[in-house]
Amino acid sequence: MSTTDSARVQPPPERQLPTGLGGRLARRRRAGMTGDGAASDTVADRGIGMLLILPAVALLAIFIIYPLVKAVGYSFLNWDGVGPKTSAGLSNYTALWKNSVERSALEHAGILIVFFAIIPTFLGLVAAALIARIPRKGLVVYRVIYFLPQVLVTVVVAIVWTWLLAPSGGGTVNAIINLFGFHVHTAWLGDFSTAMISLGLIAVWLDFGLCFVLFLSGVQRISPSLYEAARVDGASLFDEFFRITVPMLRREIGVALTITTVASLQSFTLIYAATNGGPGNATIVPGLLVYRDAFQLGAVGSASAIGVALALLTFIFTVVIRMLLEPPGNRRRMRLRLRPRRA
Amino acid sequence: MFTRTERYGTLFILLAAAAITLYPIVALISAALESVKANVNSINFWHSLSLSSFKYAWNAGDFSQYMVNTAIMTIGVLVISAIVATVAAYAIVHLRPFGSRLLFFVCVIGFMLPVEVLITPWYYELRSMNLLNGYWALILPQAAQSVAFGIFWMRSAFMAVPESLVEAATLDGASRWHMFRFVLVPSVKPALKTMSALVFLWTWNAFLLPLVVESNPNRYTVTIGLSTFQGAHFANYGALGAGAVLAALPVVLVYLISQRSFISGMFAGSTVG
Amino acid sequence: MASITLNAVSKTYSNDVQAVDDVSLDIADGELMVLVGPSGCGKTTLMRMISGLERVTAGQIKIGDRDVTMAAPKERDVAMVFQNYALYPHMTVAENIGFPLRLRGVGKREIATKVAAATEILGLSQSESRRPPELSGGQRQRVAMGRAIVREPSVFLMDEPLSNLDAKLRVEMRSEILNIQRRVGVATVYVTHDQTEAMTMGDRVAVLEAGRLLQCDVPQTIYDEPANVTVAAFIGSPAMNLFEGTLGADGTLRIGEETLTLEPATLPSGLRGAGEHPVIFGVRPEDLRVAGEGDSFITGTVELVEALGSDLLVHMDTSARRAQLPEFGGDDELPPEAEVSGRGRFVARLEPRAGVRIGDTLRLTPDPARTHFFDPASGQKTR
Repeated sequence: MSTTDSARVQPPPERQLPTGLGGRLARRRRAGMTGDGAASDTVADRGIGMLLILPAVALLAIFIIYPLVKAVGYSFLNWDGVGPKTSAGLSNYTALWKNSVERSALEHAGILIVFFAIIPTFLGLVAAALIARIPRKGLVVYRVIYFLPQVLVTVVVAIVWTWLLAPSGGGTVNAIINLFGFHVHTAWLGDFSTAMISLGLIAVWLDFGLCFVLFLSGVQRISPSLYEAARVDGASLFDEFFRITVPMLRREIGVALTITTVASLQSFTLIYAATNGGPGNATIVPGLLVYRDAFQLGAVGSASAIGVALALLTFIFTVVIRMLLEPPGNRRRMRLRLRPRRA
Repeated sequence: MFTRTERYGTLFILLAAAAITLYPIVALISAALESVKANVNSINFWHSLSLSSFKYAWNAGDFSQYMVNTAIMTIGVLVISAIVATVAAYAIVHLRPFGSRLLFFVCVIGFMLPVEVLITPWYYELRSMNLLNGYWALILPQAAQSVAFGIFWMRSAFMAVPESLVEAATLDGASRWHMFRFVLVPSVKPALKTMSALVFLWTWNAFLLPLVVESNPNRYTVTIGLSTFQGAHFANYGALGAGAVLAALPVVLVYLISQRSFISGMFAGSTVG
Repeated sequence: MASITLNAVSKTYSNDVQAVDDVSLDIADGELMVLVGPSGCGKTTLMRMISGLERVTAGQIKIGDRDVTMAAPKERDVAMVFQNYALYPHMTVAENIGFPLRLRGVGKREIATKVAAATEILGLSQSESRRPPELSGGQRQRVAMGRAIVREPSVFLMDEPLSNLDAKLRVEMRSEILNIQRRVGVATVYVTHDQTEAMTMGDRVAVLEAGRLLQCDVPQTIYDEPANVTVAAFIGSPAMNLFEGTLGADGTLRIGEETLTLEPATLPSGLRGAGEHPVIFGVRPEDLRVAGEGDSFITGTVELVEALGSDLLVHMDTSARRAQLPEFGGDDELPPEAEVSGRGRFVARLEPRAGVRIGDTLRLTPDPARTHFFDPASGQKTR
């Protein structure tokens, strides 16, 4: 082996990496030097450590790992919850696209992603971009207001929106529209053709503020001189948006999309309280099907299959969004971050 | 510089967004202040300013019981998850027990798993443990998910404590306990606060879990109670509104007090992994 | 209070990096020992081994008569000042300083007395109830010192304590630290990469490179009699001129196309009358002067003149070959002159009014009593 080779494999750590606060720790970690740090009793440390993580391990084993394994197991069974269990093979999974209810639940989940995630992100971006052009102080109050829907108990949101979307009555959406000379009397949540879109509007109301707040804080980091320079160069509003605002907010967009997509896949509470999947199955979603199958129809196997599918979708979306929005150079680091660094 | 139109345009966007956000909330509050006897089923802004609906919801509507139940659940989950997660995260970072890597991985998974996939096994598990319809059925599964998040969250907090601080304390003669109590815990306090705020929100808002494991109305949480109440009082906006305000109030108050850590925590905590 | 004895101490990391290699060193009670060397030389690791924060791979460490090689940090009775001070951000100045005492179960009243005494010495009495984030860099530095002295430890360790301060404050704190160290009279190990600090503060200076102890002596001896070419190159600013050459039996030194005739009596005994020798010849900039009549000289063209007011630094281009030396860590730690004086350049510190200009042809002669010869193979000084 040549000397240059070994030098590359084992760099003298202090020489190559930055000094300074935190640098030493990171340096020693990267150089594989932890574990031989302090001359203290590591064995005793580990023993005490095991003892201290024991409650967490027990809780997670009993209420996360074991149920997860069980859920996967159930998903291959025909079981009504009381009687004997029989193998179902993959039928609970194939039903996801063969059965019309399951299929429409998945379709609705897709529609909801548009309303929960894509529309609020887009609106939030546009609004933030317009604000960004003018430096402004005192946004704290606005921030507090916009974020408010996120901390409202979901059932409360459902209740107030069933009021607002009622066919008639003071203060309803219809009443506001009719102020402009229309005569609308749609039962928004009760009509097959409008129920899904109406739920979508609630979702937009819920998540717009979250996106806006996130993008506002991001946009305030963009130097105004960037916009001024662009304007001097003759950039249009459109250019400013796609060339400056969107690229600079890449990270925030990723965060917003992740949060809102996960929220849309797990929108059980809102829909249970607002429409309970109705009218008919017009607003059925996977979460509702899980609840119905498992606790009302005695189809534990199919409920579990839907649950597992939902979990997989959550993971896939999270990962895909991150892949799309991380700058290419960071992708490797992103993968590594999933694994805990040696602590 | 900026034109007048641009300036007012910005203000308009800000105000319009605020108005749209606040409109349903204002509608809710004004309905809640409706007299319960009025029995209205429409939103009449500031029609009357009566607290009778609150009295009704609190007493006749059993919200007093629901609130107590939810408080017990929330405090139980908060205490358990804060202690268990802090201690475990400390151990992972500073004592390096065997299996900490696996534990951390399980935490990331556990936090991202939707309740929907766990709810069915939870039900049968709790049934076999004879815990259904009791407080532990509410607390334990929720605490497990909160611990999963908490370990993830607190681990990064412990890792952010400068190593030289730990070394300084070591040389100053600190034992493990002193180190934990006097150096590390004070250093991770802000993270602990944020974690508690988020766990509080998630637990107070929990719905599917109490819906499935509690069939005894005396153990309903406020979310389930409100949902039941909605079925019975859909035509009485005053009563329903008052119940909804009661249900929402605690979280909103906590939010208003600690909004900064709430918002940043939500963003940071929701993109685990 | 105690001495420190390092006995053939080595540190090998799990990835086979040899950070400290067979270092033996005695630090007397009350002595201030500076460990100096380029970044990555192992000085910090060595100090951390004394503190117990780093485990010893081989060798023995004694504090006083006690073998502490395997002892836990808190059993060693050492106090350390960290590069970033490592103050507890949630504690006030008084609480920070009193913390080690509190951990030892000292009574509240005694802690208060001792903390008051320490803050008095350090000029921190006014800021006792403030917290670290509200303090200036110099004040934080003092708090860190306070926390170290309040315990009255047997050993003081300081890890680049001044590197986070600005230049002016650094000079101030240098004397302040010295004062405090003299006052408490405790064996102190002081790590720095700054040779000025090393020279001005150390009772003795230990120069390390690549984990090995190159030389340990009082500062003037390190400067005047560098034991090997690395020390010669590292200590002194601008650096010593070091050139490859051949020394003949008659005292003729050839470096490049230049020839210097040296009086055999001034040569190290090992080189006298022993035929042709390859050598590394070294002479400090201040030991060169403009050659007079009859002097043997090196000639070259003046490339750069730096007027410092008190002296004139003259960079002269010659045909000589600069000695190949190990690279020192980060560029920031090399004396800036090292970069200017490229290959084949002599740097001379001349009188301010020597009247030298760029482009001049200059003849320089070394002070014969102050030349250095090193063995090109081992780098060691030839005696």
